[in-house]
Amino acid sequence: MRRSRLLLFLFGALTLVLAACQKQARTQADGVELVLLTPGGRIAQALEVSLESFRREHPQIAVRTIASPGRDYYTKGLTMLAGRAQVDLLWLGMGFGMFADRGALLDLAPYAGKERPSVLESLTPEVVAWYRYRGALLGLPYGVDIQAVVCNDSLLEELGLALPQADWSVEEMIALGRAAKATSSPERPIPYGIGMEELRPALFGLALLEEGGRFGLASPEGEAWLKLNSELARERVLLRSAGQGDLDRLSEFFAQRIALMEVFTWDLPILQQRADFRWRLLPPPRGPRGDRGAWASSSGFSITKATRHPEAAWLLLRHLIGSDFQKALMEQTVPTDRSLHDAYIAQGGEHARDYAVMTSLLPVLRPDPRVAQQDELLSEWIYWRERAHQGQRSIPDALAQAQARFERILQRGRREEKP
Amino acid sequence: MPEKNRWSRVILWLALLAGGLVMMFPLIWMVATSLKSPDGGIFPTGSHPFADLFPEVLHWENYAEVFRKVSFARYYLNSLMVAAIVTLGQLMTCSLAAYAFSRLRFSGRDPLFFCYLGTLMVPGTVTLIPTFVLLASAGLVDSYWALILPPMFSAYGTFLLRQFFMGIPVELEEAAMVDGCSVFGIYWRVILPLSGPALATLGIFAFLGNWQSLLYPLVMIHSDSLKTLPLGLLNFVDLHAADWPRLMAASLLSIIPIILIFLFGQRYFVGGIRLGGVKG
Amino acid sequence: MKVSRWIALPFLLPNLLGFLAFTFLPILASLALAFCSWDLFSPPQWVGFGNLSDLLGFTLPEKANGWLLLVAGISAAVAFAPLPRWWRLGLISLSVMALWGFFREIEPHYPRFWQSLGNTFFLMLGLPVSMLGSLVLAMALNRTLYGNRFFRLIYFLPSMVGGVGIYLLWKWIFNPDYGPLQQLFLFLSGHDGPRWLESVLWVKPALMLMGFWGSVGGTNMILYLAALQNISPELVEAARIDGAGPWQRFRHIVLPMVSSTSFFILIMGVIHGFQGGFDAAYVMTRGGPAGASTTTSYFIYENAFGWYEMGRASAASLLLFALVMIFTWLNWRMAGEKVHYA
Repeated sequence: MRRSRLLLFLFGALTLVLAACQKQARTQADGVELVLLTPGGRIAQALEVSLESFRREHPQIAVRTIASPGRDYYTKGLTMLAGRAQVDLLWLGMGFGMFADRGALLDLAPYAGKERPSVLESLTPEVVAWYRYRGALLGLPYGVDIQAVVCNDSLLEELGLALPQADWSVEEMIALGRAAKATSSPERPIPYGIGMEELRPALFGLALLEEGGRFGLASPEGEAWLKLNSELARERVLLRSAGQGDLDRLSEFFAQRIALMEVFTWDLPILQQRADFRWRLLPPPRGPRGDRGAWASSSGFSITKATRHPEAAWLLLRHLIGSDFQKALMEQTVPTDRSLHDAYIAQGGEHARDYAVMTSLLPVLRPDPRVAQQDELLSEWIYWRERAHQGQRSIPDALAQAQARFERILQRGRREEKP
Repeated sequence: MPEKNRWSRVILWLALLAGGLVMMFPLIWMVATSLKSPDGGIFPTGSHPFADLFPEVLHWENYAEVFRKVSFARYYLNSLMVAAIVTLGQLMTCSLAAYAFSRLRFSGRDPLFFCYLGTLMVPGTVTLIPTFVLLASAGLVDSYWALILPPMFSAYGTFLLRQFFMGIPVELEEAAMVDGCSVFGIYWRVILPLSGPALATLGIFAFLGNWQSLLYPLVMIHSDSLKTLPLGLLNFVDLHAADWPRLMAASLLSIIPIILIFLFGQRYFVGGIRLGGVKG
Repeated sequence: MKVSRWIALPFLLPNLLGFLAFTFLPILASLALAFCSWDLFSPPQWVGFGNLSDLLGFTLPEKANGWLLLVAGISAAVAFAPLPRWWRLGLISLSVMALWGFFREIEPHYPRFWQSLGNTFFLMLGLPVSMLGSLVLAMALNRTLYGNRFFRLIYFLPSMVGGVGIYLLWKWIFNPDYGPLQQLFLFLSGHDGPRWLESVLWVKPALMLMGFWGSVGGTNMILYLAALQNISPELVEAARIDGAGPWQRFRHIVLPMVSSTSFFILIMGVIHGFQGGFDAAYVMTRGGPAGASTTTSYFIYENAFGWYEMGRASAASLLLFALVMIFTWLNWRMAGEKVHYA
């Protein structure tokens, strides 16, 4: 029968193709092969250059990189480790806590301690501290990601509003945002006064920073804070809901529809490239208690506990937090090596002043605390915050519910710790 | 009557055209975006949404850049091969099982079928990790086998074909038995030839489902050389920004086989082959 | 044809083996995980019903009305008695309403899970509309029209372009300040329309609209097209000669002839509906605002791959599985009788 022969032929042909394409058994070099997991993109580009020099210095160590770009990077990393796939080093940003808490990372303190002078001395100590977890040093950072506020001076002048000064307070920022929103008209829509989801320093960060698992959520201070944020969200002075801003976060700022916008270190090159108006970076405004805390995170590398070549992995890690790699990624993040800060500012050219704003914030950084359940806690917080914004829950009720959930989540974490 | 009929046709045609324009608008927007400069904005900022849909300078080089920046051709080949093999495999295994479930009566058939149906009701999200651990322990992770083997045995396909096979008149089967046909003979000579549209339909669904799948290959594949298209598209998404024009160009390029298959397959599933032997 | 198991087995085997290994085994594993706490690294720890009670747990406030529970129980019990169909339907809905009245007073420990179930049910209301749309579209495209092959492709394509890009576009379309949809509203009615993705009320209709765009010409339409081929033109012609109008022809010829396909689409639609709404929530809204677009499938994804709470995700899937099972069984019982096989 013709049809059956055709089917058989097709299937046979495909099987052959499959067999031919089957990955050749990896040639296991007699030396050491390290596997490095990264989220691709700019980091992968910088890696390519950096790895070339590493291979020259250490020809006996082969390095294979696996790039997994996109939002599921941490899923990829965790499943690879859970499936006992070989990963020796991995890039870690905000997801550090998840890996650290699961005991997936190697303590670097013994390796760092052996070196004279220690590598730690050249790195910003506050940021290195973020990688300490229960007494162990579980990673090293090459860059700090910091939040600041960008201001579209051209737009503010066009709207007839006074330009803010670097020493501004939260009240001033709110007033400016309200004034900008008030000018909104069909001809020149101003969808939001300030491109921020929530006034920073976030209540979330503040609440969790309290030591010993105590939160300031259901307190008069917390209530006043959430009330203010809810009002601003309802007036659409602040962005109304999470998830609206994402990869296209800055498009409204570039379309000159938002005058004030929260930006991060990684946004600076895009700003320089795309903004065809006068813009300026401002430090975050002074908080209600006169404090000025900037949200921050960091990017770095960690070594997995499962690695079979810790010594070689340490060599690679040292190389990756060295100044070459830091310089290569300087465009996106503030180098942790303090001697590179002048070069960081200089790369800004005519916007060098704005790059200097970022480095000036280094002493007042306020990172989200790195606890294992950070993402779940944050998601829970956003949920209850939005219920309050939408008027579905009263403010004390929303705060009490959030607090109860927080405690449940953390209790769960503690329960898992015990054995 | 013919006069009225013609007018109703014209109206229907115009309605389809209007609906088609609405359906096509997002695709047109994708084409427009894929031609924009990667340094500029991607949303129209003019007074009305369609004012500056297309950029002034059309950046056709974005399409070439897609192949230059990542090993797009490799992803393409991988996707084509994996989807083709999975489709063929599903057609074979599912049609056999569906035949047993629809035309043969044996003890334990219905409970078994409900087991099949029941597995459709468990979200793939939670079975992904167990599947991964299973394949990892068999050493199949990060190979074509991981992409091909598990999706080849589809409960959905079995259910779909069973529904189609149920519609084939019993008389045909009986006549074949009188002619001395074996059980397999009935499947091969009676059921399959009558199920052209059904097989073509399942084929298209299997191909499409595999073509679009993202999370599954994301977890299963580590090496760049084994990545499929949806994974490859992620290369245009950086940590905090995305290269939208090229991402759009790559997405558009990736649906070309779908268009071809649809145009080609249409002949089979809406063509002359009729489901069921006798009419009326 | 009645055969022994040993004859059926060779037909089943190729599929059955793969099915057991790659579908059934992982499902069994995930069912077991529903009773464990697992962080992917340390071996799973048995927690019994801990996950389920975490999801379903609630506290009864004092104002909860016990009478409602009693009414619900009695009417549900009476419904089992041999009664006319409409009576039974009425009793069941009374029971459901009383249960609803009772449960709306309670304080669940994990409201987001309950909310996700509610959202899932809400989004499934779009299913009949989408099915009808697909059938009508298939009937229109089944006629010999100029360019109908081209039209079929056009209507089919939206179901094929998924991914980040298309959702980005929809975010722009739904933008409440200057998106095209809002401008259309402004043009037609003179004032602003709803704030779509930002509004707890409108985010679900917005996602339904988007789902309709993506699914009306997709697989369902293809299934209907294939089914419509089954209707012989002679039959329709004969009915026309007998004086049957368009509605009667649709009601008495088309609907019965596509019933087996409709049945398949309904069953699969309900199954997929319960697992649906993931992509849109993932890319466009992240489940917000205030959880209004978090479907159960997104809830499960967040737990599994956002917070790596594998146990809780599996427990939620188990509950979802039970729900889908009940609804599919009801479908099978109620709609299955009406299916017309040739």
